[in-house]
Amino acid sequence: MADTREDRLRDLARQSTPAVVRFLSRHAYPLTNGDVDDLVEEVLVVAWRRLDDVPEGAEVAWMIGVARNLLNNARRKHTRRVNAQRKLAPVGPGASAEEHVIANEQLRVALDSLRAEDREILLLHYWEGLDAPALGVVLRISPGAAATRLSRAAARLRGTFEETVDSGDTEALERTRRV
Amino acid sequence: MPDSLDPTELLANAKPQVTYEIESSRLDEMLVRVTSASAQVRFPLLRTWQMRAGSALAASLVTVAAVLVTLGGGPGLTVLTLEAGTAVAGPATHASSAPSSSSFSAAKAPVTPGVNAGSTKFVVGSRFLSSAAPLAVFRVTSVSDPSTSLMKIAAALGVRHARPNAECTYGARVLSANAVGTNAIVTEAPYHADGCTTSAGATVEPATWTFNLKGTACELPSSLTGDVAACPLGGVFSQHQASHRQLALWSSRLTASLLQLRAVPAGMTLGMATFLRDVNVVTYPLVTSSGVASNQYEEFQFSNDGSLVYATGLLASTSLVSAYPAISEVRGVELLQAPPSGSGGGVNPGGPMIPAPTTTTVTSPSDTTLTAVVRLSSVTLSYRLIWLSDGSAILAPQYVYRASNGVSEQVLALDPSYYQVEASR
Repeated sequence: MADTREDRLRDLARQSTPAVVRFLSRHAYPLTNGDVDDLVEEVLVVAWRRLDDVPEGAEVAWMIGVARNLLNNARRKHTRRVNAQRKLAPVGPGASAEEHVIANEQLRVALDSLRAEDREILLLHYWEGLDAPALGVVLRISPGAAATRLSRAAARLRGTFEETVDSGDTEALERTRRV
Repeated sequence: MPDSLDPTELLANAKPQVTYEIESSRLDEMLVRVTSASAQVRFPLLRTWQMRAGSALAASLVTVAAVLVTLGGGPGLTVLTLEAGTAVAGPATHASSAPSSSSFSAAKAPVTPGVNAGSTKFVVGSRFLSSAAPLAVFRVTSVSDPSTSLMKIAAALGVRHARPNAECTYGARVLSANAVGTNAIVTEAPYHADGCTTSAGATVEPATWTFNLKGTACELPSSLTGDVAACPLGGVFSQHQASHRQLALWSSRLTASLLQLRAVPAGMTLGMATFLRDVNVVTYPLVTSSGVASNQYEEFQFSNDGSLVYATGLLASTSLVSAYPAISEVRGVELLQAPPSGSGGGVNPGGPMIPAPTTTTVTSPSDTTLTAVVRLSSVTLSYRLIWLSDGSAILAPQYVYRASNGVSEQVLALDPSYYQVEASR
C-alpha cells in the first residue's frame, strides 16, 4: 500500500509504464522513442493530477486511455515539425505498425473499411491484449458494451475481409463505409 | 472461411513487437519532474466568448458579429472546447468509398502515412463553393428517463412482456437500464455512475441501446467470456442470404414502429438505408433536423426468415445549440492543408492502419522531399458526434472531401474561431 501520493504515482508508473510504452510504440508511428518518452511523461502528468480518479484494479487500462487521448496531440506536433524541417520521416523496415499489417493487403483493406471505433477496439484487444473490462475503462464504456462492440467489430472485419478475399470486389466495402 | 484466413488471427499475428523500454532511472527522472511541478489547472471546459466592442478580438470578429445579427444569434455564442484528441481535419474515418487496389499500390510510395499537411498538397475541386452560410450545431443529451425510452423501443421491436429493470454492477460504479422481455432484452449501454446514482460522477454522454435475443450464443474471444452482454453477431455470416429488398421490408416495419412510438432520438429522423452484404444488416443514418445525415445510426440484423436478432441505436435527444459561422468548402481545403493552430487537425485516428493518400508524387530538386498531390473531386456536408471536454456531446458539421482515387478527408465545417481542442485529458 502506497503511503503518499508520490508513492502511489510511483507504483502506478512502474505498474503501467511498460504497457503504455508498448501501446504508444505500436500506435504512435511515426513518433520516435524520444517522442514516446515525452508522451509517457505527459501521461504521468495527467495521472499525477487525477490520481484520485484512477480506478482500482484497472490502473493500466486507465493509463492507456490517457495515452490514447494524448496521442493525437503528439501526432500534430510531429506534423508541424515535419513541415518545419521540410523532410520526410524515415521509413525503415519494421519501423511502423503499418509495415507489419500491410503484409496482408486484404486485411488492410478490410481494416480500412471499418469505422474508426471498430478499428480502434480491435487493435486495443488484439494488439494490447485488453479484455472487456479494460476496454471499458479505456473507451469509457461498460464492460458489456465493450464486449459487444468488440464482437461486432470483429464480425464486421470478418465480413469485409471475406468479401475481399472471395471477390476482390471493393464495391461491397464501399457499402460498409459511412461518412 | 478457413481458419487460416480468419482476419482476427491475422491481426493478432500482425502485432508489432516492441523492444523499446524506458530505463528505471529515466522513469525516476520523469517522476521527479512530474511530482515537483505545481498543480496544473485544467483547461476551461466550455468558455463563453463574449464579443465586446473595444476588445482585442473585436476587429477580427466584425464580420462574424454581422452574421450573428443576421441569424438572430446573440453575443453569447460559445466557443466549443472539444475533447482532447478530437481530429478536426484529417483522413476521413468513415469514408464512403474504398481505395481501389491500384490506390493501395500507390500507397506504398515512400510518403509518410498519416501525415498530410506538408507532405500532401490538396487541390481544390472546380465546383467547390467559396462562401458558406452558418451551420447548426446540435447538443446531444441523454434521455431523461431511460427506462421509459427502452420500454418504447422494446415495444417497437417486438419484445414480449417487457418490464423495466435497472442494474448496478461493478462495485456500484456502473449503472444501466434494461427492458427485459421473455424473448429478448433491450439494454442501455451502461455508464459510470459512482454509487449507481446518476448525479455522482456520471459521465454525461449519449448512450446507445442494443436489442439482443435471449439465449443466443455470443461468439466472443475467449478472454471476453463471462459476465458480458449477449451478442448474436458472429459465426453466422455465411448463412445470411437475405436480399436488400427483404432487409428493407423487414426493417421498415421496425423503423415505422420506432418513429410512431417516438423511440427515435428526438430532433432526428432516419435517412436512407444501407446494407451490409451477407450479414443481413441494414443501417439507417440518423438525420438532423437540418436535413443532413450524421454518423449516428439505427441498425438491425435479421435471420434469414426475417426475425430480428440484433439491433442498436442511439438513446439520446438532440436540440439546437445555435447556428455557428461556417467555413466555405474552399476554406476547408485550406484548413486540411494547414490545420488551425491548437486544434486536433491533421490527425489520423486510425494511425498506421490507414494507407497513405497518394495520387501523384512530386520530387523536389534535393530529392529529399516528396509531396503527394491529392485532387479533391467532391465534397459532402455531414454531421459528426464530437465530445466536448466536459463530457457532453454535440453533432458538429463537417465537410468530407473525396479524391478521385477514393481517399477521403474530413474537416470541421465550423469557423475555427469558435472551437478549440482541449490540451490534454
